[in-house]
Amino acid sequence: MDGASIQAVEASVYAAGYPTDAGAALVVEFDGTEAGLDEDADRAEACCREAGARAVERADDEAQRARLWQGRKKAFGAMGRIAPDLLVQDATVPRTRLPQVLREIMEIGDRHGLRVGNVFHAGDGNLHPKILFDRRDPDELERVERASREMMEVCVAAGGTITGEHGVGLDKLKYMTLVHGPDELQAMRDVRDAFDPSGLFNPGKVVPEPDDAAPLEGSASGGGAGRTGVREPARSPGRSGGHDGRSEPAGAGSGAGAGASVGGPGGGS
Amino acid sequence: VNALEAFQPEAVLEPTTPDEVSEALAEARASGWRVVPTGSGRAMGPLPPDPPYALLSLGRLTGIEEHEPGDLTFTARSGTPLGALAEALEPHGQWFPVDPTGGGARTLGGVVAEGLGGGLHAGYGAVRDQVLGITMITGDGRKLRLGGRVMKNVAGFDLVRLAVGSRGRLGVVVSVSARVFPVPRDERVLVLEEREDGTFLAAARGVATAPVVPASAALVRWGAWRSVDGPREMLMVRLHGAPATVTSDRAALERAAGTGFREADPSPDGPGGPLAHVRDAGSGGSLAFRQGGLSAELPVRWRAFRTRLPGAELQADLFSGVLRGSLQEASPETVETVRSAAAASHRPVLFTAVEPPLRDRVVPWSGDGRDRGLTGRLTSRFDPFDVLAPGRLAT
Repeated sequence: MDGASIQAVEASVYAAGYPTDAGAALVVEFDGTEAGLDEDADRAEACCREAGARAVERADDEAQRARLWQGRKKAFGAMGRIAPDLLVQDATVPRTRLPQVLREIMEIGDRHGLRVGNVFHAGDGNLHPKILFDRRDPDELERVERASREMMEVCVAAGGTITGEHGVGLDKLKYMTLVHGPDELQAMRDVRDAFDPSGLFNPGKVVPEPDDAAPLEGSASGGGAGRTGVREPARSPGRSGGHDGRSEPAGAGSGAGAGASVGGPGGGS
Repeated sequence: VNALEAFQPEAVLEPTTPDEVSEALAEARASGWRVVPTGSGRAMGPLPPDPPYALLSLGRLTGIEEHEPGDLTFTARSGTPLGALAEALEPHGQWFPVDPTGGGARTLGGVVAEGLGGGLHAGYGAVRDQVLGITMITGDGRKLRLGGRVMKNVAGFDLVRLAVGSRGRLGVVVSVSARVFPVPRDERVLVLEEREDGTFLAAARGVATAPVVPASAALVRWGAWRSVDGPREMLMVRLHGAPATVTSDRAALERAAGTGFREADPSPDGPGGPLAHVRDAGSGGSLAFRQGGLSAELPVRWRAFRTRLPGAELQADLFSGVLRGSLQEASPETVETVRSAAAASHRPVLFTAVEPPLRDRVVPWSGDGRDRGLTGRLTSRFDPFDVLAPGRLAT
């Protein structure tokens, strides 16, 4: 967790006791056969101190363990006190590129005048930048979209990918061409069609259609934070309700779904 | 039987670059040949395709393209032997934990295409879990870069998992990115030998259900043609971890098994060492077979094969539940005996090695060797000209 996330949590009812002037906090957990775990923990602690950690706190019982984790697990909820809307991104980079990519993500936030916090899985390079905003401010919404794309581009340029664990639904369709070429996308459509020859299952999700590609490339500068990139639901009568410009996108209420919370309502606005 | 000896190709194509793989496929198509991709030649399948066909050897497509120790990942060309890969990783205290039959002579791409990494999946996951990215050439020459080289990646449909184990039917693997692990600080090899009182299989069940995750655990019955000092059946368990951890795990396994183990020396790991013997047990020979099933069914399945095929060599993985067997000499009746053992244990078998005189006793898995249904729809997209002909599974 970075400093911005620590401060948000510690100012909330979820305070876990992290030092609020720390640049970051790292939570490390071991499991397995009990014999040998202390040895592993000692090695991890030595690594942390060697790398400049000013304090290392160890959980000796379940209550302490739960408290240390609480700060990490409530980091998203704590953001609700600070801004009405939150976009949680999801991307993975090679582990050794984490420091550089985190710096670049903060620079992107600064450049667009956005508040950004980071929680991430340090062990496997999976990042979750959180962008705070207010969707009623169209200009800010526009900057959130631009910053999101730039964050994805930074992760891909570092050898990473556009989603590490939450997958591609609608919002991330427009980033698929950052990591997959036309042949790879066609192979995905081919596999989908082999399982679903009549196109019944969840149309418009996961893989962009070929004719989506052109408008997608231009969408970042085109000024519309709309639902470009989503195949028109000619084959999906069940989704017609989504054309009501005032309706919320499915899942937006939680705010924590990967990239699910932005862009949906902008279709008609 | 070296599976390659049974093949009579029109040509052996040996590309040295991915682009040359595309060219080789185009050349074969122009010549009216189908193409059988090969790595080390250890997993060719028991049934050569109908001629004419060419072998596409990946043996000259070798080398590590990328290894960043801090990322715990590497990328290497598909013909790279596992032994060479291990040598490159070892100075960094890392390894790629697969242990397929044939060991270090096997190629990275061959193991990925076959999808069988051996017994270490118990502790480290299956090959399908370890592979992060694959570059493959489709039958019509397209180069597909599937997945990536990061540990977590769910960008679109996971075609990497589709390609692993597809046996060259969807494309020729030319490069693989996978994750590596730290070399374990300690290794113990524990052996439990067959006993007269018949409690051996019950002890093995205890190991399989103990609250311990070993690196691997296998039952072995040595073939009648091997000279063996002592009992012919044994259970071998490998434990990896910190010294204190493996000591504690051993005690927990012995409590679960209700008996003590003998400790074997893991160091003679050369071609003839005990680990290699167990790894390769029940493969090759005149007739070899593999049966999938639940680990909990192993006592019944083990007895079904042991009683009907007393001279066969058997190996069973306590965690995957896969049982393998091989025979040095086999007759047409032996094929039927294997089938009767399979029927008695209510699980089908695949034949993985069949010497030429017995070939007409088995049939391709798909009947006539044509892909149908879902498989047919998939292969027609990846290999529209029907050029790729992998070693066919037999039943």
